[in-house]
Amino acid sequence: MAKFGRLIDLKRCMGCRSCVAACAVENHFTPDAQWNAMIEYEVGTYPEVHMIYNTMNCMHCEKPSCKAICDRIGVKAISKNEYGVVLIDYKKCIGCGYCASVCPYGVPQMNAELKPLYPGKGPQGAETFAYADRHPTHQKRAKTAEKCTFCWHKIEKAIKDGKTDRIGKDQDYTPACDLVCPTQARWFGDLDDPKSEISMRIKETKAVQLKTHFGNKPQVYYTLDKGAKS
Amino acid sequence: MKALVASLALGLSLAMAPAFGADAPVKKKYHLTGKPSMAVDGRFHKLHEKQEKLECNDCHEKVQEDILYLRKDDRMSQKLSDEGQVDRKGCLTCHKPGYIPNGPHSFWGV
Repeated sequence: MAKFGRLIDLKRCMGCRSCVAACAVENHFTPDAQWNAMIEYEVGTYPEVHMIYNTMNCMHCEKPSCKAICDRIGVKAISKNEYGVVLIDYKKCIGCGYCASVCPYGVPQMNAELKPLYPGKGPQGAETFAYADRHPTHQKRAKTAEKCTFCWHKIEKAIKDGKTDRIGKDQDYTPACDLVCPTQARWFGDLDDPKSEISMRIKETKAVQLKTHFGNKPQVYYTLDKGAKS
Repeated sequence: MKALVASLALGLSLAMAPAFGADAPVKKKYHLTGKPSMAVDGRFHKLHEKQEKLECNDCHEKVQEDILYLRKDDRMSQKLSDEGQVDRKGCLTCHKPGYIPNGPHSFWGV
């Protein structure tokens, strides 16, 4: 069974936010609950200074603290499937916010209200899709937690089509954020396969996980630029 | 009876008067005690953070922002609750001693 993961090369990322925009459209962002964020900060001392652009989305940890706390309180709205993807069931979520509190990466978003992205203009474009026609991961509800799903609707489609080998390669089967990167700073694929492109690149570029001291074992790797935080 | 109706009409008109004036801007009462609120969403904080564009670490020396955190609004508040006290000596970098909120000529060189 595959264990999907992502590699983000901070040396290549130029902070254009194409991945954030693609995710917004693909996953029906609401203003207060974005699933993918661009974090930027300066490193170095004058005159040797430069910017670090670090996109963050769900790390789909091997040991997700969000799932642990959700199970502990008996809600069991968060699951980790056999492909390594951590998902929230909106119908089961009670909106307690415990998952948001315990995630060391600050990932789960408590969606207080379902509002259109553009103030005063009403629903635009993909926002006009009927709820019933949307994938369950896009049938968002107010006062529930939500987060990046690794575009599970696309991975699910690949599984149904019997084309899991095309995940990370074909447009229909690859997360939207990874598709649009103009500098090819993002890679998606099977971490369990040592011959997959992502596994080889992680090894080649000596990519690391963020905040490993929490012990969550995230499935998103970063190739760090000089001075970047981990 | 007429007196009762008249007093009722007068009472009603007096009661409705504030409703007609509801569009007028409401002047908020800040600093009634001379001690501005230090709440993160309070006016004092907003003035320094949004208007003067100070970095958190300009005042909160001990705070090391955990920047690798997706929910940007929550980044500082969690840390500040642990170690957020401001060393007031730093205020004198901009403000003259004896600073009075909103007082005249309270900044150095202004």
